[in-house]
Amino acid sequence: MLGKLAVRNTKRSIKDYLIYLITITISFSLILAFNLIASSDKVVELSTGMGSFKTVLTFINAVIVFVVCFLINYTTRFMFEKRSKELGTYMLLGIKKKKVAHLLVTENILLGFLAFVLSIPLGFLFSQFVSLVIVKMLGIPEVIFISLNLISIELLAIYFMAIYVLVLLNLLRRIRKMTVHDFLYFDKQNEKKMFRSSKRRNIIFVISLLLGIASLVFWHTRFNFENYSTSENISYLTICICVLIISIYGISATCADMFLSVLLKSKKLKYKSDNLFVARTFASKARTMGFTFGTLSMLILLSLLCLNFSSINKGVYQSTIERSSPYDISIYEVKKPFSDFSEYLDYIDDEYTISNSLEYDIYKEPNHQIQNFFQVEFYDFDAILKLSDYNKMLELRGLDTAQLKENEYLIITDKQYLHKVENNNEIKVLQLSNGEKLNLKEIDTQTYWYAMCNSGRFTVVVPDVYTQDLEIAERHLIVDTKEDTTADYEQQFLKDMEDKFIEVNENGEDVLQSYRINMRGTTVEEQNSMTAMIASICLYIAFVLISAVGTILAVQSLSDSTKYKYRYSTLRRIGVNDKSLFRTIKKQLLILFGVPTVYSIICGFFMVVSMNNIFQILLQSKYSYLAYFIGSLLIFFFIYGIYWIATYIGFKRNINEES
Amino acid sequence: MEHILNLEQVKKYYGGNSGNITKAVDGISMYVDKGEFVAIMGASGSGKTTLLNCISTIDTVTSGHITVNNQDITKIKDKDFADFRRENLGFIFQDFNLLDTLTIEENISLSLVINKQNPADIDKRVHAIADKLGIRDILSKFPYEVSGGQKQRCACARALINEPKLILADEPTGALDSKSSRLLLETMSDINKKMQATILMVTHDPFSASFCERILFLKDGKIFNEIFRGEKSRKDFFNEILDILTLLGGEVGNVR
Repeated sequence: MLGKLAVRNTKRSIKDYLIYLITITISFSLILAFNLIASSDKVVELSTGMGSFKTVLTFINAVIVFVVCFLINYTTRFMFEKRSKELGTYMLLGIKKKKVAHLLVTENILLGFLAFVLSIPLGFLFSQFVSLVIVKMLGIPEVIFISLNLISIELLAIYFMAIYVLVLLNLLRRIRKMTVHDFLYFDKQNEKKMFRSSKRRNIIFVISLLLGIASLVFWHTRFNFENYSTSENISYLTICICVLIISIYGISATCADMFLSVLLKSKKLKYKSDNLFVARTFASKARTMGFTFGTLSMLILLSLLCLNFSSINKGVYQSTIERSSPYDISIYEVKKPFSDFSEYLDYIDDEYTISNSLEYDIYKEPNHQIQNFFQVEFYDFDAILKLSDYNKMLELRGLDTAQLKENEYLIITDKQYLHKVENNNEIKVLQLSNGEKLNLKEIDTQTYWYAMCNSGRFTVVVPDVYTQDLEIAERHLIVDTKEDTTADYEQQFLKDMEDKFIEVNENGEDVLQSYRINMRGTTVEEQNSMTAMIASICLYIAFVLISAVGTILAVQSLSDSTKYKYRYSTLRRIGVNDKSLFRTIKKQLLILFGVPTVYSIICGFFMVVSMNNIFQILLQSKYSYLAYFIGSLLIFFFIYGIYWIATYIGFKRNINEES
Repeated sequence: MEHILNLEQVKKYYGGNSGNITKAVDGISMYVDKGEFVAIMGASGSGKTTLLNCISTIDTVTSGHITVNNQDITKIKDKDFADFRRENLGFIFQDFNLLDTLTIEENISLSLVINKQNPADIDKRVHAIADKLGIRDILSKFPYEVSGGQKQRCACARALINEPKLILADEPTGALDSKSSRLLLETMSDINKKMQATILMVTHDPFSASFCERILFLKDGKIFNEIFRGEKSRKDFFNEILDILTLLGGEVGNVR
């Protein structure tokens, strides 16, 4: 009989918790899908960067399992509270508490198991889809079929069991503490108001708001190039995030109530259309859900950041390739005597059609007037480049050439180091070791690329005449080919030219200096896999987080729609027609779903604005982040909106149902 | 006559720590004999339900002793409560407390099934009791498919099926219309007489109470008065109840 009861209760629960069931099924499916992909050798072999996919995913899965655990725990607790009276009745009929607990556990496992079983075929399907996306991003024409393997399913089963063991232990602990009386009168308990006095609430609101502003301002100050790369930055940012979390919880717990008291003070607002009903209904919810709202806001903020990160990552794709490998192949040597670069050219010529090539030298200027502001501890000279070489390099990239008067010089550096030399009076005039003085014409950050020179993070361009007496520090070769280079070719190149790249280090060991060669094909491949990996993982996290939030709100609202059905039948009785009743419900759900997003969106926006200080150098425009943020919001509201619509439909069905 | 239920100086106080003590039940001593149909009456907040909750082991007492069938329930261990309830008590609630995933038949038989009784025997007993209460036709229906009166008769059947020593009814007519109320009370009165069931009913409705043989009146957690029906007609008894209620200062508005 108990078994029958459990099955019937589960059946009934499925109707009530369909949204919840769908969400955990999809979450489990996604976990499985990503496990399947990470364990597929074919995907890992796709590119060199995919190897770390598995490691990253293990960590991400832990986060996802945690969120799913939170969701399941919340819903289980919620279902339990809703049914406490029924459970009390079982106990009055003489069923032992242990058996009641057993019944509840069976029901939950049945429901969870259903999700688990459904998630296997669904996860399998998802994995094909994700693989298609990855393959597409990597620009590979073939389609990779992800096969189902037992280990991934076992891993999912382990996650599943871990979640349920935790959730059910928590439930049993609760049941153990409760008496029949608690069960029977649970729904008659007065809901606890979080803040008894409005003064205290206001103080908490103001403090939370100030903490929030302070943490965001502090966050902003950490995101400039001077502070960003310092070692203590990570601790500062952690502090910021902790303070922000406190602020989010504080604001979430108080703002709904604050808002309501303001609304009720104004007679005009209060009595306008259905404001009073909607506000009161919301307030009764918000007062008891303060903590949950905080958690929901946190999850929303996290999902927005993930979505933004995914877009930014896609945005930096092109510029990263340009900054790492503007030419198809570049090679340099630092050890004298320099080898004959025609050997390299001949080798390349065997494989590709060389369209252009250029050899150039980097000279040492021992006065290191500029290196003083960079890494004088490593390099005791300034890296000097001839204007004519620089102009040839610009031509190869199709850029306008630079002009210098006889007494002028240029600094080329990365945007992130600009603060070291910008508006610096000490470098306005460059004193060369032969006594000549040159005036700074400008600092160029557009044409810089990482492999331009190896000695420091800047290059000084001077008219050709000044390099005559200088010692050569590095000799570079850049080659443009008609065909696209590949990562495989770089490996082959290193293998065949091994003797040119092997150096003996201080300990007498052979070291392959593979960093002296840079192949555009390798960079493109690495960037492709990074983008594919980060984009898919970020979307995965964001989806699970948004669904968790949507589900919790949906389950809450749908249960209210049955519990407080009389509210709506009362409205009907006093003459509210169906059309305006549904409008009221729509409005009510909109507020319930909307409120937790407001503070998260504001915080998320400011965080992204600050982060843009760093990222903008890699993005196409200073304002690209705005488009990304709007894009993220659209994705967010698309998924969130589905939950809202589903809840609205369910809500309407519930209040229309005959009792 | 044998006392099925006996209360000695039972007290139930709430809110000890805050200094604001509510004496919900304040030293009540009473008994119920086998085969009696007793009502407890009183205004809202007089302690009726708390008293019933203490007797039904839903709540614990602050002090005093309650014995049911010579067993002191204040001394029963937590893990034995379920067995005790199943063997000794039957419950009827104001809001029925039927399980909506089970049919009427399954609701009635649930405790027998859990007791692992012989299925054929269960079936026989369920049908016998359903016949007596006139709910045979609706046995295969679900609670939401039947009327309030039928639901409460189903709850009655569920309470009776174990042949408990004591049936506890908390405002059983509270959610019923007057016709269903009368039907239910007649049924209860019937099972009391024909099946020798002992019933303790809490109510604030004088009409319901007039079906009983003896009524205890509570005020502020204490027994205020006790009246017996004896040979009086139900109408006379009803009037007597009204008089006492007037004396108690309330509830006359409920006269039907």
